Amino acid sequence: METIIATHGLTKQYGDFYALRDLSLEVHRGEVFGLLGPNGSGKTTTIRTILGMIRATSGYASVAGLDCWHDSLMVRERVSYLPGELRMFGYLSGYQHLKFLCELRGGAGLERAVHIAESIMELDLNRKVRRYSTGMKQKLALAQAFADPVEILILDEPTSALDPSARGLVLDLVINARAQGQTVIFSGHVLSEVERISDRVAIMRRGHLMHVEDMHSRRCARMVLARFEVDPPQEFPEDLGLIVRRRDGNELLFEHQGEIRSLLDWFSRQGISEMAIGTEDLRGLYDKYHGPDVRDEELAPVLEYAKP
Amino acid sequence: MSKAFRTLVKRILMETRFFLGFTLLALFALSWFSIYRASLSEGREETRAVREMAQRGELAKPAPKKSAETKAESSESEKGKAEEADGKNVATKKTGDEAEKAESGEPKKTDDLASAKKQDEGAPAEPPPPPPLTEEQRRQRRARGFYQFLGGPDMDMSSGAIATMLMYFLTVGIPIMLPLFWGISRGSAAVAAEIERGTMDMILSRPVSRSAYLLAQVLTTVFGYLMMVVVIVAGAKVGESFHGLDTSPSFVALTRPALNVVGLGLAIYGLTLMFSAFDIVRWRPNMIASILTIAQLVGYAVANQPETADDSWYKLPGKLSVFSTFYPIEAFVKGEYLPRHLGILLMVFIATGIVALWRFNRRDLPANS
Repeated sequence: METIIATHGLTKQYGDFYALRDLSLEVHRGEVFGLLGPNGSGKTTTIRTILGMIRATSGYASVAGLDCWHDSLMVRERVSYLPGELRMFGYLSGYQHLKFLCELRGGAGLERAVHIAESIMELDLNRKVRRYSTGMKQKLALAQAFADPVEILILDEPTSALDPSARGLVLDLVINARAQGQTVIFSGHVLSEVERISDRVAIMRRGHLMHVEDMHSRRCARMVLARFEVDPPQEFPEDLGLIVRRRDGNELLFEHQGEIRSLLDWFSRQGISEMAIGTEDLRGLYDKYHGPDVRDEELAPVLEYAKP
Repeated sequence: MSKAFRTLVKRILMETRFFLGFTLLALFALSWFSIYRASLSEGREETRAVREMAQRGELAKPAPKKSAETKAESSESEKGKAEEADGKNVATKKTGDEAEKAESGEPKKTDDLASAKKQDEGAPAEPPPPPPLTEEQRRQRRARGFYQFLGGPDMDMSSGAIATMLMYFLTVGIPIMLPLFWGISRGSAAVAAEIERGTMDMILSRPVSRSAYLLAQVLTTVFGYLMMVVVIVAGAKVGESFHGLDTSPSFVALTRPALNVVGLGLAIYGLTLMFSAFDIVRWRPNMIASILTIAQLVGYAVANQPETADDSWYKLPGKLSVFSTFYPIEAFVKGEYLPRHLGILLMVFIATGIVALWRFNRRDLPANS
C-alpha cells in the first residue's frame, strides 16, 4: 500500500513537557485512519505538525513525500482541515464564508460546498455566521472540508457538536470520501464512530503512540465465551485459530479468526453448557491503555521503549 | 496577484472599513478646518500689512533650522501648513498669528513669538555665544525644564489659553494621533489578534503562505496611509475653495507634511507588527507599542524644551525618539529635511517589518489559534 502521510521519530517539546514523543506512523493512501486518545494525548499536535502549523522539535513528518514544515504550502494544497474548535468571521454570511475559504484555494469547490451545506446539512446560507449555533458552524465547516478538491481530509473531532442524525451524515460523508479515493484522518472521542468508519486506528497516550489496530482483521475476529461442563482442555487444535484471552475456572474467553463451522463442530464435541459468540468493540482495546485502572508504571516498558 | 491574496486583502478592508472610514473622514474634516482657521488670519488687515512688508523685503527671511528656536516651531499648529508655500512667508505667518492673538486676547507664546519677531526684524548680527554653564546651573536648568514641562507656576488657565490648547489639539494633536491609532491597531490585529480570535487556523490551513498573509496585512495598512495623504490634501484643497486663501498652497507643499505624518504612523505600525508577530494576545503588543510611542513623545518633548535645548543630558531621548523625524511645518514650507526624515521612518518600518516576517514564518501557531 502506498504511504501518503508518514512521521518518523516526531517529537514536540515545550520546555520539560513532551506534547509528542517519538511518534512514528504511516497513513496509507485511500484509507480512513482513526486517531484515538483522551484530551492532551497529542492528537491535535500530530495534526498541526502535519499541517505545518507547528515545527517539530525533532523527527519529521511528510505528506506525499513533501516535508510538512519546509514544503508546508504544497502540503496544504493537498490537505483540507477541519479544526477541533471552530472560530469564524461572524460578520460574514454562511455563503460569504464558504466563498472566502474557497477563494483562498483559488476558487475551487464552491458549488459543491454550497450543495453540501444547503442540501445535506440543511443550512440557511444567507444568515450571518454569528447567528449560527455551534452545531451549525460545525456543519458549515464540514461542508467546506468535504467540498475541497484535495487528496487528504483531516478532521479533528468533526462530530463533537452535532446531533445524532448529523453525526450519521458526517460518517456517511467520510465513507463517501474514501470511496472517491480520498485519505481521511479522523480524530475523535466517540469510539463507536471511529470503529465504524476507520480502516486503522491509532491509540495515543501522553504524546506516545501506544498501538495501531487494523480494524478489518478486528472485524473478522470474534469473541467466543464458553462454559465447559467438565475441566476445559489445556490446549486446543491449532487449525481452529483459537486464542485464549481469559480463563476463569470452567469459563473461557477465546478470540477466534477463521471458519465458524469447524469451530462449532469442535465445541459440540466438548460438552459445553453455555456458549456466546460476539465481536469485540474498541472499548476493550482503548481501556487497555486508558482504562480507569491503567497506570503509567504498568505501561512503563512501552513508554520507555517509545522514548526518543 | 493571486486570487487568494486578493481575497485576503478584501477581507481585511472589509473588517476595517468603519475604522478606516472614520479616520479618513476625521482627517478630511480637520484638514478643512485648518484651512478655515488659516483663512481667518488671512483676511485681517494686520496679516495683509505684514505680508506686503515681507514682499517689499522689509522682513528678513527666517534662518534655516539649526537651533531649538526653529525646533520649537515644529510644535506649532499645522494650521500653518496651508498658509504659506515658501520659507519667505513663514515670517509673515508668524507675525500674522501674533497680531491675531493680540486682537483676540489670546496669550502669546512669549518665547516663540519673541524669537519669530527677532527673525522678522532681521537681527543684523548673531549674538555672542553664551558662557559655558557650571554644573550647578545645569542642574537648576534641568529641574526648571521639567517644571516648565509639567506646566509650571506661570501656566495660564484663562479661557484664551484653553482655547489655544484646544485649537492645537484639533489641528495638530488629532491629525497625529489618528494615523498612530491606525498603525497600532492594524499592527496588533495582523498576527496576535487573529490568533487570539482563533481565525488564523482557518486561513493558514488553506494554501496561503505566511509571508503572503503578512504582506496582505501590510499592504492594506499602507493603502490606508496613502488614503490618509489623499484626504489631508483633498481636505485642504476643498477648504481653500470654500474659504479662500491669499496664497494658494501647492499640492506638493500640502503632500509633504501629510507624508511626514503617515511616515511616523508607518514606523509605529512596524513596531507594533513586530511585537504582534511574537504574541498570541492583542492587548500586549497594543500596550507595548502605546507605551513606547508615549515614551518617545515625552522624550522628544523634554529634549526640546527651551530650558533643555543646549543641555546634552536631555539630547539622548530626543535623538532616540522617532518624533525627532517629525517636522510637518518645515516639510510644508521647504521640505528640506523631509527625504531624510522619511528615509529614517521608512527604515524603521522596513527593519521592524523584516523582524516580524522572520518571526512569523518560524513561530508555532498554538492550537485553536
